[in-house]
Amino acid sequence: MKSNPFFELYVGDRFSSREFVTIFSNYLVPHALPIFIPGNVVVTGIQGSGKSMLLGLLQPRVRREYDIVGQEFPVPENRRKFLSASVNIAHKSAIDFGLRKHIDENPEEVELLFADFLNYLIVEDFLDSLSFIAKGPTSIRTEVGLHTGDNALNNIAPTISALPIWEGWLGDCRTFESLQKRIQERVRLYRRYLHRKDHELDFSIRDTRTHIGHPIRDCILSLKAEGIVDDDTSMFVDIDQYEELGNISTRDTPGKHVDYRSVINRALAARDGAVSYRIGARGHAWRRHGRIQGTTAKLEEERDYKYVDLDALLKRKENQTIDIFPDFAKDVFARRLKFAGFRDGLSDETDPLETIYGPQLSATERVKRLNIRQPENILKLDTKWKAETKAALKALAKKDLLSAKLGEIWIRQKGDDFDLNVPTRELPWEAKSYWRKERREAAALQIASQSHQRPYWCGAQEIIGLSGGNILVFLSLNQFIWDTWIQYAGDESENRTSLPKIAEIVQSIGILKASNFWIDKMAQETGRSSERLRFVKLVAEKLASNLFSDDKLSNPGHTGFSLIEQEVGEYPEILHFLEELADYGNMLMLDHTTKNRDRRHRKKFYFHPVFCPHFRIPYIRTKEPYYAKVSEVASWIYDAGYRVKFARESSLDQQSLFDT
Amino acid sequence: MKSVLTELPVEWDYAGDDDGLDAGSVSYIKFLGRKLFQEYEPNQFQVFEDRLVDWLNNLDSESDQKLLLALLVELFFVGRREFEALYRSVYGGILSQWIVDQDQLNLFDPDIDGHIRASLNSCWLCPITDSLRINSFLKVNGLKSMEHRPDWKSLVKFGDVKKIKSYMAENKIKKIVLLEDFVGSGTQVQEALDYVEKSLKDFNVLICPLVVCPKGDELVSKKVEKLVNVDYKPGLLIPNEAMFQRGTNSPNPELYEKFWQLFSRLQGRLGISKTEAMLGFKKTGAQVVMYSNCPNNTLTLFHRETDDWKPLFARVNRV
Repeated sequence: MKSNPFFELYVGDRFSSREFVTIFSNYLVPHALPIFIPGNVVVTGIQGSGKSMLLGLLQPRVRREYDIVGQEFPVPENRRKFLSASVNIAHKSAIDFGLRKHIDENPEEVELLFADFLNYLIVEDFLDSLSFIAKGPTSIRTEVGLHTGDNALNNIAPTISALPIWEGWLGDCRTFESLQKRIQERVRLYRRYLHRKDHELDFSIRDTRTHIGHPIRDCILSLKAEGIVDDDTSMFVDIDQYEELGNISTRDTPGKHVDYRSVINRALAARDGAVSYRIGARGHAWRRHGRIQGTTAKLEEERDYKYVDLDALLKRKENQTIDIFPDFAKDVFARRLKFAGFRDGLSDETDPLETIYGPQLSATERVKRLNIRQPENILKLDTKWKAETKAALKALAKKDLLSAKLGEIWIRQKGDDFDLNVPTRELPWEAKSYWRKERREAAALQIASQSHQRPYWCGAQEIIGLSGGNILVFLSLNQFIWDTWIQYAGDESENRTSLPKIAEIVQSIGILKASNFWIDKMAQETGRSSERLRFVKLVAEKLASNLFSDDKLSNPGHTGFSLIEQEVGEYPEILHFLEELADYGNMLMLDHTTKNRDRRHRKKFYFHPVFCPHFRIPYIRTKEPYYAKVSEVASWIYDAGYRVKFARESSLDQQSLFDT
Repeated sequence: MKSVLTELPVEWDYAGDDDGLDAGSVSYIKFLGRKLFQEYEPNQFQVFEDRLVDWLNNLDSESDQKLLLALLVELFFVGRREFEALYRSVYGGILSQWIVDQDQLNLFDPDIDGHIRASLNSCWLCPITDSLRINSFLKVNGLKSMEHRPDWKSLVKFGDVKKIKSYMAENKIKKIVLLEDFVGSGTQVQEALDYVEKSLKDFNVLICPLVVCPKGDELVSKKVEKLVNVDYKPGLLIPNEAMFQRGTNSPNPELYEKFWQLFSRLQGRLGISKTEAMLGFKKTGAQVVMYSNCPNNTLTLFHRETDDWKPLFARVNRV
């Protein structure tokens, strides 16, 4: 082991194809099969849900690496007949349209130019991928249905360059290389213009603009007509980081807003059988922008595209038998260790996560780890209580402080009317398993707080739980734990090949550091990041303070809040802000089956579990969340610095929420 | 109850917030102990962690011991490798830029590196005090310079101006580069500058200390303003926020106030009458230790040795 196996968090973007093969967990593939089936597909998920990794399987270089190392390509055999082109919006200068200040003087024109730029980027990558496959082994060529080797590539150039779609701009390309160069030249001219090296875009480019999606469609159709590509070969165009298009700078001139996303939406709306698009995006960023360029129509799910929601797939399920995240995380964990050089203890039968981190500590054990010297002093015993009650609780505290604390809470709630002179398991709060279960986490945190100590966070299941269904958070937790362990273990950490056992205290330190890191990281994200950070801090501190000052612990579930769907829907700005929090993974937004008699549909919001150690609130969701009013949430948002007048959507007089 | 430590308590690594110790502080110090603090030359035959335990045992209560450890977390230790990096950095940056300006070299000349090296070799590269290891500096950067490279503290004291000038003439020296490893209050640089002002006005001089505290920087900058033949360019200027300060300027006012209270309780044991003097020579308040020695501008309880106090980084003083 040379260094921290979790040092690199973002594998999708930065790992080489070879490293991809070792590190990619194919665990999600069966759950995301539409990606490899013809038809448009939108893959949504927050940062770290594994979108880029999954879409990476479309790249020929990755496929080739599987072949080189002799590993089975994770895509099912009957779904491997595809060619692809891929554009990462963030990496390919597509977002540089914002560098031109006069860009929204004529939004329609800019949208058309953006479409043309994107078209050439797609074809550029398609040619690159075609040439890569043509130069590769026959087995892959046969698998994708490409009937040309490296030598015959030049025959393709005249066919493609003669297509009417280019309106002669490409000229007559005799060789494949000259075709590639000509396409690259157009991309280069765009970049020169975007980066303000050229004052004006060449007129010949404006004059030969192409409609979104048409060039790649014509290219693939012509290759099929010539018999170069099999008729039943699918053509996938992968456009990743779609949401970045929403961040392109614009002057926000009223009525003159360039809608870059509508350009891509138009490609999907064409429902072109020859080309299928794969769009990688964040959840609500996708849903809110269905407008199609040049029309008033909107995209429709199932008709225009299929939807693979990785967040929904990976969101921790209350029913553990259908929760796929733990196995996914364990697979990723084992791959990382293998990649880092660990050899022993990584067989299929073992669970390295549990070997290294041990099982999760129960709340009772966590309290014991605090090593409180005089546990009876932690109890807050009412002077009016019976002497026997106080004596019994004090005596119990010495053996099991958590149980004694729960006893204190029980008596506060139910009154001092119980005979506590019974065996421990027959104590009233011990006998009520649900009552106990709902309060033990919060009570354990109260104890840590009252003894001025940091609570323990450790164990394999806890690390999975704190990840909240996000593989990036899972890797980050591991990264911080291993960094701390390396500090402890010193040289030993550099030489060993067998799995270490990482002490609970080391895990707790690492987890707390990771939690602090994720809080700070919020401010570096895009969108209204500083408002989101302030909102999370403000609300979490408010809820934590209420939870710790609640001696009766009547509301142990108040670690999140719930809103009536219809009410929040009337205030689009509030809804969008909350959706943005969910899109960026700052909060979990879940359907809430209410216990209220009115049975109105509600949404509940919880902080991402990784924030919980920082705020010292339980991440395990139990009982009912705090039932908030929309006006209350609006005031939190306002206090977080988001200065927008919250107005009802349907109201004609646009009355402010704060005036009601 | 008196707390006597035999090793660094692991449980402190995840102690409560009230102790001023961030989670992971103990492992961080243990790690730095192995990787960095162990390099401290004046104590090279002792294990750092043993010294640390002795240092913490100067205090009786666990909370004071934790506070002392929290103070160590704030320390900036400049190890051997950091110094070598600084040697390279000032050569590639400050010294080279100075030569380009002095000789008006063409930056686009393909042989620019060679010209800079040759020109620097013809300068007189000397340390201001003997704590800057001039030989290492030259070796790390592949420089030769003159055969004699006296430290200017000695030169000022014992040097004969005539002899010095004749040595410079013999070796065709036109430019002088004076290096120093650490400048706290700036007193020693000032002595060298006084000498330059008095006797070597005809030569262009560059003063380049590797690590400088804000106080020293202010003093030297002011002095150099009046000297047309002298340039001053520090390698690494420690920001004000990294100096010991109380109140709102401090990075953590509450914690630093606790440190201050500790200083006040300890001053007698360190033979100091005023708490301000706990901030080191000229109340600089530096929190810097170098692998070669601990500057006297650094907080006294790191380096002062008395019958009643064992230091963590015992300082080698001049007699």
